[in-house]
Amino acid sequence: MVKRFLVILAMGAFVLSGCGNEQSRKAEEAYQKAVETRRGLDSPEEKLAITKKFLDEFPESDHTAGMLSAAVYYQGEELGDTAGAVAYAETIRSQVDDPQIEKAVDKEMVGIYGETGMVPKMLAVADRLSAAGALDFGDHWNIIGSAIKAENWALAREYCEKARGLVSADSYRADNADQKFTNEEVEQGVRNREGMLLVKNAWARANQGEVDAALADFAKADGLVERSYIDTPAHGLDLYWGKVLLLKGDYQSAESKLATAGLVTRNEEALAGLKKAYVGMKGSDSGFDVYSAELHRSVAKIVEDFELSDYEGERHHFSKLRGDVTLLAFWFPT
Amino acid sequence: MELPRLETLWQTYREKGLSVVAVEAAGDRDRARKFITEKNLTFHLLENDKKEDVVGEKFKVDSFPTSLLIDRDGRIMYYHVGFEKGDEAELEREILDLGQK
Repeated sequence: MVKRFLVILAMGAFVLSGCGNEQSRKAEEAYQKAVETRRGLDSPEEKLAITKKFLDEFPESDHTAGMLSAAVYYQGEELGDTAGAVAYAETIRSQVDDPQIEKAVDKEMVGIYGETGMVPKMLAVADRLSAAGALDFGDHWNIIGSAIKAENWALAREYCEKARGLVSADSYRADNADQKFTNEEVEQGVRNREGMLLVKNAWARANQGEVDAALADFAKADGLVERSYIDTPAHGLDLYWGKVLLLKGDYQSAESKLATAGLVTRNEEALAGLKKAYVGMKGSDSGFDVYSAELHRSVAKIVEDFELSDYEGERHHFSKLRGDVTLLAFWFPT
Repeated sequence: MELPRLETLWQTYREKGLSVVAVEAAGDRDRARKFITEKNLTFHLLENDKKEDVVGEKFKVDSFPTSLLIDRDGRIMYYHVGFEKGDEAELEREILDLGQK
């Protein structure tokens, strides 16, 4: 939910919605004002209040789904009141009649129920969307993620199978109708979809005892999914792969899969897996700290230099700005 | 907002050798400038080059904020996406940890 929300924030800057009638013009104005006010606020309590104020006043607008997602994020993730967040989402959902807005809100509900482990409710909404032909790849992906979180492996595999029907250039374009992708970007997107399904499906397979088939699928996915700057593959491939290699007793390979995630991105599961691999190789965890510090330095990618301007127009080489320790942050003004 | 918190970290550890560089990804100069002035940010602030797209093309970053900690030899020792509760404490711990090495 966190990632989805970050993306929504980023997109929000570009979305300018049309205003048909007086009511939607008012809603648009109120929305712009609410978002502008929210930008200046720091506490989640205040952000939640301003978001809810908009939704309570305009429960049915082009922004219902987006604002509901934000409200659930503030209340559920930041303030830890998951039950309250779900109850609030249901209250807003019950006030929506317009079929288009209903669809958009239902897509949010799939995510909200899924995140909170309410699988039967999530599936009921998914079936309704599916019957209307409105269940896109992202919705399938949310359901797969929730099924995995709930350790419902059969359900995860069922939706991986269903989502495979959407691994095509046409589906990719249809799901991203608001963006003008080049053929190359579409190809990359389709490859990535294929890879992400392979990753999740393989993890489900491994949990159902099909370890070797899962390892073969991970290797295949490795050539398909995108990689970050520090070379970690997307969608948790390294973490799942490493965990299955541990099951198999292949500690050396497990170490190479888990090292960057465990030590550089500080993923706790990966770090625990790394320790298991070490114990598997050495017989005990004695010496793990020295070993992991050495491994940490050896897997850490060396940052490349770049040159950019500051706000006075002066050019800077990043290498000249570095200190003993450097924090490099990429941000987006919201 | 995460940047004002980075200002606090920078003020706390600059004497001990911490350098902070923030790159604004959108190339939204007006909004960025307004924000920087309002929050009185004093560390290094750079703007992404839209043509070259250092953020997206070179660093492949598409979720914000994304933070990297780099040691004196240029190794990326910490990489983190997002800024949630508890992240600030983790970042500070990592800075202290790296500073001692």
